[in-house]
Amino acid sequence: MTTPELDEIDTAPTPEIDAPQTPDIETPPTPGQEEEEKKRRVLLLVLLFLLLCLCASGCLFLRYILKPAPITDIVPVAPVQGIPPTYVKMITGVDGPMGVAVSPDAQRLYVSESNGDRLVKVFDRDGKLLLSFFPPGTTKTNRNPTYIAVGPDGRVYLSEHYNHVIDIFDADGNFLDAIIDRDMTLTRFLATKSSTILVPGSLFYYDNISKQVFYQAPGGNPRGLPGPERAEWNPLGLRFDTEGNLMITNLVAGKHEVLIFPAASLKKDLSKFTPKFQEFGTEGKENGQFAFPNSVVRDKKGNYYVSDGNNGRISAWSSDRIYQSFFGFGSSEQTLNLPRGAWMDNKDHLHIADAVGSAIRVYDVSGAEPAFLYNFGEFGVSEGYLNFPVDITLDSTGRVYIADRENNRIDIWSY
Amino acid sequence: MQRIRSFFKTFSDRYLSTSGQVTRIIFFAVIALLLVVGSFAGFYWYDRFYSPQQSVEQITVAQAEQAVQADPTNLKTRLVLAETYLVYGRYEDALSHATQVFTEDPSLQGSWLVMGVASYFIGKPADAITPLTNYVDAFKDEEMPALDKRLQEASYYLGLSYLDLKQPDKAILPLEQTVGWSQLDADAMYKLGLAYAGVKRYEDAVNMYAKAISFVPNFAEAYQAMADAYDLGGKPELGDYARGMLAYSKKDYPAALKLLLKSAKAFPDYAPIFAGLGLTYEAQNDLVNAKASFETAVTLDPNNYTAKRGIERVVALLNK
Repeated sequence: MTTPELDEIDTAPTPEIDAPQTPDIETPPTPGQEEEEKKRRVLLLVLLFLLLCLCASGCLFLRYILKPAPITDIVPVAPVQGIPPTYVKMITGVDGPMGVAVSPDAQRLYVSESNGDRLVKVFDRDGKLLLSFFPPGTTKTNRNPTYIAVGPDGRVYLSEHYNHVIDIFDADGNFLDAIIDRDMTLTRFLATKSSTILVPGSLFYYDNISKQVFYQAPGGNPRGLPGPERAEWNPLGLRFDTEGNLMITNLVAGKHEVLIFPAASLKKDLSKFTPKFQEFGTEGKENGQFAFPNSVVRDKKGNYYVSDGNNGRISAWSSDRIYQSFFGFGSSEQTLNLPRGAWMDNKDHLHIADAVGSAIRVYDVSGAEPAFLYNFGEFGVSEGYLNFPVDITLDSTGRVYIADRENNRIDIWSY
Repeated sequence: MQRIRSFFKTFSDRYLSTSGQVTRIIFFAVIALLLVVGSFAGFYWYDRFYSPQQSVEQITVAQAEQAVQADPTNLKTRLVLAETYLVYGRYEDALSHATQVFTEDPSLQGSWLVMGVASYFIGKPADAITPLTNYVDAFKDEEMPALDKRLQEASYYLGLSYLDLKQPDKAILPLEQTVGWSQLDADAMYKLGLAYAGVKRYEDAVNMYAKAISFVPNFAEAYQAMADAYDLGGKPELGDYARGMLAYSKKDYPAALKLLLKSAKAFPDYAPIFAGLGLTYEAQNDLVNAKASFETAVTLDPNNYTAKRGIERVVALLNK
């Protein structure tokens, strides 16, 4: 059906009207329009700022998910000084923890026990026990695991104070070798003293009672060889620097010292272990001397800091191993009673486990002079308190692990 | 490039051409920003600081409560629960369960200790006297009381209960027993000093405060009590020494120095004053004067441990 009226309109001729010509000049904006435009521009700037903030916070979030770290490490502003970490939780089920170390990916925690079965226990990040292991040829009565460190390649180094060896394990606790003297590993000793070829699965270890090196092929009988003379070998503290050099403290009578094994000597075949190690320090109370040094760490400039246990101080040495000074000595709350484990974080903040003081003392060594920053933890048995902390380690995510020996636990704090 | 420009032009014309449109977009941007920042903050906190782990207190109390629920008639498990409550400061609960145990079997001596200590902390020292006295009497003649921490605890709180009841004469015996059994207990020494002062044995009180301070050099209350005892005992100049050490313990070093110097003038033969001066100078990093003061203290009393250790520290710092 059609509508005649509409048809008529559609078909009706449009009358030609001469529209008035628009002049080619822009009409000036009214004051109201000007005001509106100004307001719009300001709002656009605000919007731009908000979008930038949105992008920045989104990127920050993404960056944190990909690689967790304290916010002060992620945000590129001047480092915030003097904010101690916060207590998070504890890991129980360890007996007299003596050493604590974290794998390079921050997913595994290694703890050496000084009591009970004297095992090395491995936990995941949530504190779940994954596995435990111990040095071969030992029982709980003839081993004394002390400090522990994880190399850049994930190998685990354990200072075993009863047999005076540094045992080397893979990340899963399989025994690989042991440093049994300043320039000797078990495999090198066996390679030079015996024609026996170590087949996979062989058992070999050093026994400090008989002073012998034992080895036993799978299914074979154990054989013993007189071990090396070890007049100058009694390792205690272990730490790796960022270059992968192994720094140990060696407590030979009259010669408490620091030894540094270059990374290259640990990377290559350990049966050819001939390290060009460096050493410094002697035993005593004077400047440049040590009394039971426990831990050695380095700052970004390469300077060495030694927790000089029984002298109650930190001994500072230059990168070319020249004695500089000491600090942390005295009777105030900023000083040390019995410094044991030490750890240097990526801001050159030196963390010291003060066993008798039952606290962690933190010094900033990035400046010309070491400066005390803060303490955290205090004596007690409740959660968040410490009772004879002996070792400390930080992981790449800013978590702090403390071997809280007399509380039989690992305390976890976080920056 | 042309397309992108065109897209932005279209977008701008459609959504950003008026201030009203821009305001609306700003609103959405603010919401988005808050969401992102809030999510990040929440995730950051959860990832770094949150722990679903129960506290030791929660675990221990829950275990003790479960044991009682499993066997409500077992008085020993109930007593363990009472002791657990006591350890974690739940005194009313501790008292309630310990009283139940005592009512059922008065021979379970652990309940006496819990009842007494809990009563003291609840603020009923009169109720604490009988159970604590019974507990101390039952165990004080055992072979090695110095190794019995529970006996020492009972005796200590018995003394404190008498002190709270303003009966210092009766507090002396249990506190003397505590100090005798636990010779490193600075708190017990301080309380025994208060008991002595309460019966006007000021010299004994001062000796006991001094003993407490030798274990805890920053024991502010002991210094204050010592100052009071000196004043009441007629030796106000030595009161200045105690007040000086009180100022030292509060890190008010100028005040400490002033009082200790005044006291040293009045008592030039009293080694502790010079040891205190040494500590104050050391705290102010005046190592030369600190060394001289410590040396004077050691000359006056060769066994002054504080001064001897002070000399070792100061010499090491001077030779740095």
